Amino acid sequence: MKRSIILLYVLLTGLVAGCSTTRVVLVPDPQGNVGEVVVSTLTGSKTLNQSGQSVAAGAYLLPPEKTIVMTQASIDARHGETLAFEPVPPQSYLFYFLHDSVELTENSATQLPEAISRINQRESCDMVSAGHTDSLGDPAYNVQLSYRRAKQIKALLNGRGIAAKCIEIISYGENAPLVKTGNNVSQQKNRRVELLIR
Amino acid sequence: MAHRNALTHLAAILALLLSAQALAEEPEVIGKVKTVKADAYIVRAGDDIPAQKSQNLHTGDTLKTGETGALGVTLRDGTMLTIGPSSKFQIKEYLFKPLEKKTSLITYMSKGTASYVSGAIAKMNPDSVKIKTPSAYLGLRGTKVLIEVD
Repeated sequence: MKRSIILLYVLLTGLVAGCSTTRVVLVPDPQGNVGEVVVSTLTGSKTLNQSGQSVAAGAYLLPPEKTIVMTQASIDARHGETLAFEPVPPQSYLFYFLHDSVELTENSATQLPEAISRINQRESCDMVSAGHTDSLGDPAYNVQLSYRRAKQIKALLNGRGIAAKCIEIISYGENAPLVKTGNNVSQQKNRRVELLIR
Repeated sequence: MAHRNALTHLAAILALLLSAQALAEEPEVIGKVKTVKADAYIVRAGDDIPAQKSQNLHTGDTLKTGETGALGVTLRDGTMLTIGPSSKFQIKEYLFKPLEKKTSLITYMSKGTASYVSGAIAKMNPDSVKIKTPSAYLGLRGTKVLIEVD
């Protein structure tokens, strides 16, 4: 009886294991940070949290195999062709504004040329200009103000040759502050546009 | 009679305009193609569309490559997904509404190699990011992984 169960188990796992194997390796992200990934099947799971750590799983019915550490040479050999075609990581710029205004602070105005040359260098036609305000004043008014700020950045970029169709506008009003404050608080760091270049 | 003819024409023109408008209403764009090495495709509604730089992606799209292909995309939240040769990776569900805190990124990788760099969705709500393969489930917490499925 026991033998037939073992036999059945071996047969079953042998069958499902033959179908497909998944191997996962954790590597540093573009900022150099190493995060965490949990690889699970129906019968177990393994957590990877160090650079180069790797685990394979042969089937949902089998627990993942023992964790190993993959060498850089092995990673390159297995994934080099893929890694050569990774997109350039998205990049964002922050522009700050004067109180209740679509006028950039002096410092932010000087950063515009750098953002423009970066957009051109990346040949990006995939940007978001996201406008924000601080919590001073009426929330509905702030949605409008942040919209005008986002549009202002779009207009400034457009004026320097960046196609308008490449820039999406989002208006957050006072709902997504960079620095958390109470209501009706003036905060320079929240009067901003975040320009995301993908 | 001539009158009726004119009416039929008008109806035909109207029908054309309506269908043109229906076509113009593109589903939500969830990301864009960034890098392409032939042969690479976006599989949509059963059709293999040759991938092109800056092409829009929709929920349900499958990224697919032949023996020489590679394909890299960036999604709206900054998630970057690149597949190597002979690979297939479907974006089954994508939801990124940061203000409403509604996020979801559910994918299925059936074969090949892939590089996956998580974006804002994994930062905001790691549990809403799921990658499934024919033999395992992956849960990501703000990170980069390389995956092989054979």
